[in-house]
Amino acid sequence: MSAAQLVSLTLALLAGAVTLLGLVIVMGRALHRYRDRRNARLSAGVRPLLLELIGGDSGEEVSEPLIRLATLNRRVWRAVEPGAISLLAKVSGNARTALVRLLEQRGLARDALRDLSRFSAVRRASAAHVLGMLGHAEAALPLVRLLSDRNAEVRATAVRALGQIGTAGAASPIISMAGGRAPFQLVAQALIRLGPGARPALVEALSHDDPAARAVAVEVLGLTGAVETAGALVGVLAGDPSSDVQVRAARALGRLGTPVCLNALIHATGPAHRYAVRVEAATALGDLGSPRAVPALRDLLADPRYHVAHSAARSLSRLGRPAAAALTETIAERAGTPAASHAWEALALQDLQAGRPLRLPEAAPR
Amino acid sequence: MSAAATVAGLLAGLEAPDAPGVLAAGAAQSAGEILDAVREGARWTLMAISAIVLVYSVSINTSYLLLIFLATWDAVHHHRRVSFSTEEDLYSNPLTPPVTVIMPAYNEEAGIAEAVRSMLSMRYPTFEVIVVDDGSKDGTFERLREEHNLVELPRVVPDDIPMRGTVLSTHVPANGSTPLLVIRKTNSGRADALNVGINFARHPLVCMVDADSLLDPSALLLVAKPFADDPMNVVATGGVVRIVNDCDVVGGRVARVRMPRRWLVRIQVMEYLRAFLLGRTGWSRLGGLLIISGAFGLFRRDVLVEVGGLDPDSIGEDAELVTRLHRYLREGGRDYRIVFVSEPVSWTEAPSSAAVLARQRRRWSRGLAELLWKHRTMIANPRYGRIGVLTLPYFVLFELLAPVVNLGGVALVPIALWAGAINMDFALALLVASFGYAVLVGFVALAVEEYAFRRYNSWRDLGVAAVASVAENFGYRQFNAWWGLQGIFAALRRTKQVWGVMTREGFSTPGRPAGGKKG
Repeated sequence: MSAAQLVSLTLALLAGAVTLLGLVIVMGRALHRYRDRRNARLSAGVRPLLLELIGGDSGEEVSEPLIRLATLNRRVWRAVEPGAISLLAKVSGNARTALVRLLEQRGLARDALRDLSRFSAVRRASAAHVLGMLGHAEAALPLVRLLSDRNAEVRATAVRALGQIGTAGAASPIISMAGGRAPFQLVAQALIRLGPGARPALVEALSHDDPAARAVAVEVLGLTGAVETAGALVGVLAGDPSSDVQVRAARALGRLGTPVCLNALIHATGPAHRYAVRVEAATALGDLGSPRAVPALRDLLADPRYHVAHSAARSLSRLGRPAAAALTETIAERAGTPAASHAWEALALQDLQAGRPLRLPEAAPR
Repeated sequence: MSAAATVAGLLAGLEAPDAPGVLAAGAAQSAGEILDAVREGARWTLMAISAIVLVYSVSINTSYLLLIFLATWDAVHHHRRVSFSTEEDLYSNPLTPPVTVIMPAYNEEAGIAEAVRSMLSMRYPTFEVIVVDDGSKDGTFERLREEHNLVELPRVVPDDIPMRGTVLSTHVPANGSTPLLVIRKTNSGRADALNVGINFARHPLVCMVDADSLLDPSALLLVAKPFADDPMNVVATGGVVRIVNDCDVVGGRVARVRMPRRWLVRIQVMEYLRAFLLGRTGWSRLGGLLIISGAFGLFRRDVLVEVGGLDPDSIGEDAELVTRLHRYLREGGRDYRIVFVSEPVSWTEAPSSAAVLARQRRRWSRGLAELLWKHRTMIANPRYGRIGVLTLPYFVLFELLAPVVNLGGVALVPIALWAGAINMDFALALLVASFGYAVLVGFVALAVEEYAFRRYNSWRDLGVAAVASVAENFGYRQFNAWWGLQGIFAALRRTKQVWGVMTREGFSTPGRPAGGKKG
């Protein structure tokens, strides 16, 4: 083949490829629009039935729309199904029970259980998602097995589904997913949904080798108000090798708010602790809300590290009159120092929250 | 080398000169023969350079195509997971990390109130907005004071990151509940204003946005998702920047996406799609993302403090920051991820006149040249992983040097034709093939947009996008190369850095004429 022929062939191929791509784009858009219009038309007639189903209070009110929806022909149901599944996340009580009944009658749970072992990762993830939305308890075991799936998306969906189903026994395998096997926030949310039944596994995880597992356990114990575990969390705050885990422990103790938390947090604001831990401990003392923290926080206003002093000031602004008195004293005793400036800021914040005119230092520019 | 030689042979076409022309010079006896030999040598040199230009053109478009294919993988993945992944997970999750949004503002009187209002209505569990008024000479601050009933709240100025400007005052809304802080400072440039904002930020994540950008309502939620998913490793994420010109904006939100009216902006829409959306998604997939746009980036505050914030001396401070993050974290042997998220969108106004576009492109090119020079020890250095051995060499070859090679090609082809180094018909055919390849790349990008994102809904917009993909190759790219070359020369001469004035037309609100503004 000569050079001229080669160039001509290249040109022809390029022209063909551009034309083909143009057609693919146009056909794709046309097809998409056609499907959207068809699905909208098909589901429009059925939507009132769905609303009737989730709006019904008694069994009688629900039975007719349930029968009609359960016997819809397959073509129409396929247009309605995605909307019905997404409705599950938006309703509760009787409405949810009726919707779950409908979806189970349509064979969704059965199909999803079968799809958990499909070759396609998208099918497996979608199946796990549906089972979680339905709260299908029988799916717990296969979903736990899915936690070791090769596909990250499938593992993530299985974690969420187990949380939705509420299988407390799955807590340990879910915790072990925190170290990069599944999204951290999904693991935490699933564990929160499992409730008090997951606490023994969470306490055990406080001594896990993986800092991510310890971090998620600390967060969930704090967020679920597990006051009986405060002692264990104090131990984490004092001695965990990861500063990230210590920071989370300080935050968790601030949420729990027991006396043992107060002393541990005050101790954690000391200079022997890492900067990030001290900042979080000062913030947590504000969350905890005890006036007993005021003297320690007042001392922290003079801390040379900005964020320690600033967090202490913000915490004091939340502690009412005892804090206001301490702030006024600081202004008088330490006039002209950064501590006094932090105190002014805290007082101004109190004024803002109370809707009063702001007290400002005389030197402040207006 | 062999590819270039093959193409040189092709370029010679049907009238190839004698191959041993240069060697023949050695045997020449008379002055005429020597002159012929020199001419022959020049012809071969021109042919070789033309061949290099051609190989370069094919390589650069192939690299775009590869990046787009990588991005397509990501887009397909995103598209498939939509049915079983909801934003609600993140919105309702108590572990979603709080964010401080920092908006540096300089003479943004026309749009600042709407931009801040839009930012405050973002869908995100916990966040604060810090506006840093960088010594504006217009009524930027007054507009904010009126809008939010600001009162002065003196703050101790934090000093985690060194600052050049002086903080004059700090203000908060009188209602005590709106999470807004306005800082007034002396003018010291965008990078320093951002550093001031980082110092004042209370939350662990810092989002940098331009005061003239509009974010999709759930943009913050989606760009923060990688941090919530992998809090130990993710240090920065970047979101997509799209062009807002002539879109309908209602209440600080893009209500209807349209193709702009001017062809110059339409071409930029396609350029942003190919280079910024798909190109960066491709780099992110390779683990070699170098640029997070200053118009929309989210960073871990503690890591920003560790690296000393943005470099106020850099004119391309966004890319410089990300490069420095890579450098610092690699040198520290830390595991980290910098991620590009292809779906949340920040909308920004693109230059609608050639003069403003020229200033912008000179600045980008100069910023890149200075960045690559500053971090030259990272280039081709395996110590810096994919950034060192892949991304930075690519940026040197296909981003920094692209204007040089493109304009070199434009200048050399007429000379080569005049010298008879290449055949006219053949050169024309190759030129068309080269443009055809670039058009193909544009169409592939358009196909990905259509299947994965589908932002432009009307048939007319689709047609305009297709024409813009073609038109980009005729004039726009060549002018871009010229401006890029000017930027490189400015970097070499180390002339004074000037950000330049971006003339804005304002957002297009249905039923209301767009207001002009300068920022």
